[in-house]
Amino acid sequence: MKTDRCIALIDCNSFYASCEAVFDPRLWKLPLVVLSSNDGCVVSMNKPARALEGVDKGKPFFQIRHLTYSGKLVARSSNFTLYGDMSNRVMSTLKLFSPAVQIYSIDEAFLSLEHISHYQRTEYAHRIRATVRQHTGIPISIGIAETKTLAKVANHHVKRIAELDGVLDITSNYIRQEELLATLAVEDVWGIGYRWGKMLEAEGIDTALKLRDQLDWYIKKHMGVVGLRLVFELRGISCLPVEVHSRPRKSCMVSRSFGKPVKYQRELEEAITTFTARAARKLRQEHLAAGALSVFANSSRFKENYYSKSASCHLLTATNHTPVLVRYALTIADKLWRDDVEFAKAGVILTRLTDQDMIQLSLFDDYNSEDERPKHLMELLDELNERFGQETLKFAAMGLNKCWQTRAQYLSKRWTTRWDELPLVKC
Amino acid sequence: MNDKQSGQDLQDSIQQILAAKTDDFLELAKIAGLNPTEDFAGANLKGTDLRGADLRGADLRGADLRGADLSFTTLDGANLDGAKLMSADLNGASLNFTVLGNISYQPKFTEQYSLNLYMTPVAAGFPSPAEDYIEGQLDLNQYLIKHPAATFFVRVAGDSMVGAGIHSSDILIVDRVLEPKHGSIVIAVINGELTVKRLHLKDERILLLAENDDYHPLEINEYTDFEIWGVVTNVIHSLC
Repeated sequence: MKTDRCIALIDCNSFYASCEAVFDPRLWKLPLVVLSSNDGCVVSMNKPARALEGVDKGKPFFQIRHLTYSGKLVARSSNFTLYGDMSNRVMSTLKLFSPAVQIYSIDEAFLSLEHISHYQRTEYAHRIRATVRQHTGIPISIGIAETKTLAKVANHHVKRIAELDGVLDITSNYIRQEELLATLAVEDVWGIGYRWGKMLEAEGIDTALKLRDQLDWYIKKHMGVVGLRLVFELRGISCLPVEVHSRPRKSCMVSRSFGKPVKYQRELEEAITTFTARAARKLRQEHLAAGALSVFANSSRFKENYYSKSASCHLLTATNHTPVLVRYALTIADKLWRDDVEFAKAGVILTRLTDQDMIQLSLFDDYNSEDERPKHLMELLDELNERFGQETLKFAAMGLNKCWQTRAQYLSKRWTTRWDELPLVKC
Repeated sequence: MNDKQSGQDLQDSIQQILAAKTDDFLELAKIAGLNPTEDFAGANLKGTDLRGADLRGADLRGADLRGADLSFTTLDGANLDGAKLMSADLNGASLNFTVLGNISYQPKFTEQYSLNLYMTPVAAGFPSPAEDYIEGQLDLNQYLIKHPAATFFVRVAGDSMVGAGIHSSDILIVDRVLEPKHGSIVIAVINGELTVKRLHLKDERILLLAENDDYHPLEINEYTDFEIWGVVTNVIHSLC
């Protein structure tokens, strides 16, 4: 059995805020918050913003908007075009350092460090950190341990202790592990979440250390095999390997909050059509086709008479052809519509995904697999929109004005992906 | 005598093929006096353009059709046993009753960049002399960008670097991997702003020099809010 497993969790510090600051360096020092889609609430903030009173993650923006008027705070809308590109740059830089890199989210990755001897590991991690900072401008933190869950624990502490300079290795350091686990709330353990957290706290298991030292049968009874695996990970027994190959996608969702309440059925239809077209495009990029489709829509949670409804249908033949998917989506959207509701959000979910070249034909559909024209049309559509920008060519049903469109009032430029939006340098 | 004559015939048909105004494989085959349904078993048909050809009942056993364009061909009843079809384009080809045993086929991968590989029509037995020497097209990205993940583009605003060939609204290629040295042209951050200047690192002094007499050098001291953002490797200056 292999016992020398060693996993690093790399986490980009305040990733969205850092991406903004790379191209507008004033924002390393000025307090900055990045807002969720529709400029709803704070999702990322830099250090100076954290020091401001009343500014927290999750805070609704309208409560702190006045700070931006006086120049005490800078706000940015989420610029996912930029964050996606910067994430790719960080991830490919990390791949210089390990043969096994698992991209876990837009700003996190697991790296296998088994190939580095233990006395060189901390130094190596500092080199990773310095390289990513130099190449991409993004600061990162690194936690290292025997298992992914412990690496997460280490990373959690790195950010809170400035002296560590962004790196903490707790591999084989059982005293340090106990120290960290004793001060970590059980709810903050990776994979525990709100529900299990509340349950465990009620049972008196309020720290990660207490959870680690529970009896196996007890954990299995209350949290099943998934929970037991997690506890094993806390004990340093690796159950979750670094997965280099991404798992095939199971579903594809596109949803947005509306910039203003949607009161006309025409507008909801435009939105649903737009979301369906985007989801279909994603499927085609990955050579997938959808066998089922759901649509949901809801009113504002913060207003009276909250209304939320969703409906789904199976397709006769799986497809990624936009017009077919739109036809299904609009049929469903019609059933969700109510005249007395002001809609605040809607979305489309494509499921039962299959390889687009292995589609099961239906006995009852008049789908003609020999007809290549729909495929060519979609290829042309995608190619044009890739070359000339999103929605250069689009379906009229997606709407021309789109007054329901998500608010993004404080959007920065797409500095790395558009020739006409490159950063300016003074000369 | 016989050999000489057939040699002459060969010369003639080569001449005819070269002179032919058509790129159509079947036409060319006809000029060469070959019957597509019989004479191409085991043939080297790499990269051949056979779009829309009628190859009903053709004997193509063991033929090398790698990279061939077979879109919309009719291959009904043809025998492709053991043929190599790697990267062949079979879009829209009709394959009723076609024998497809032992073939090696990998669907054409459309997302690759388009390398201009030999699409010269090749008659059986007379491959293009250039075929083995094709190297793909020149790629500016490959030439200008050594570290894609660390390379950024920025646009110039101002005329302080005219002496270094950097004009307003030019695009600079910035590589953040390179170590800034004495004399490097760098993107520096001064008081939170990106600026381009020549870096002077001598006699324990750090200076940012302009390449225009109208601008003064800027000395960096311990009080300056200063950082090197990246090293400029190239200027893209449009001339029209």
